[in-house]
Amino acid sequence: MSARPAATRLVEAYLHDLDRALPHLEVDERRDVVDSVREHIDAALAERADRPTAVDVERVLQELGPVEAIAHDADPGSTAVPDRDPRGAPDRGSWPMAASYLLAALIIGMAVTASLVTVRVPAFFRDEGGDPVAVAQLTWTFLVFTIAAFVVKRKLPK
Amino acid sequence: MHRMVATNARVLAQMRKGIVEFCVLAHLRHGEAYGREIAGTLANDPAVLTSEGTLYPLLARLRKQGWVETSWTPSDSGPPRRYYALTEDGAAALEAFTAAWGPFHSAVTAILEDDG
Repeated sequence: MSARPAATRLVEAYLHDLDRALPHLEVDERRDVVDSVREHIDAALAERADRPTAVDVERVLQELGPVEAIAHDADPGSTAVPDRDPRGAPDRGSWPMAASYLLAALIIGMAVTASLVTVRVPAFFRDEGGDPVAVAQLTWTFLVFTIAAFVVKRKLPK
Repeated sequence: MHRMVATNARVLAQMRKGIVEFCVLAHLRHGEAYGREIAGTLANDPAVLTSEGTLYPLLARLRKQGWVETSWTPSDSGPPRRYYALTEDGAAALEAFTAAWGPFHSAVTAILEDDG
């Protein structure tokens, strides 16, 4: 099988997302799941066409279902149901939307404090001096915004 | 207090835990099979497998437990296939489940249908 680049990218993105969705599994079991799903995709595409297109890949991935459903079934302790239809398109739940807005707000916060720091820092080095406390406070605020944005981005579902 | 609405999907998700893996073992009692073959059969009924991909964590777990084993076989229509087969422990587990399922199913049905 020699898939077209777009088709290959879709497969790799799906497998990457699947791998990331399985942090609760041990490394060897996680690799086993990802490898066997890859084999499933390769075999399904080989049966469909010599050079599978993105449409072929999308059909196969749809049959496999969203990675969240696979990850959910990989966790024997979980009894919650993923908040999306396993056969349908991913929905935009309230958490992803809220987290996106929060991330945007944090990035704006970083930009504002960064510009304020830029304004304050040069004054600090002039003869008349600046206010080191204000600079330290702004730098600290910028760092807090940066760390918070990083944390939210990591938690944001794909 | 955490309230949980018992939707059809939630009830099914709870029931699948600990049951579907025996459906996989039951499928293999007729002989070894490769992943897509098992997925294609079990995902025919979404009550059993919500989608084909949800089979693979089950297979990985069964393999880790030593209830199934795998071997590679060349395929005429694509890459080599990983075949899954029941082990002795897997066959014994399936036998135990089958023996327990009948009385359990009857007991639950009797309770559900008991109209006082």
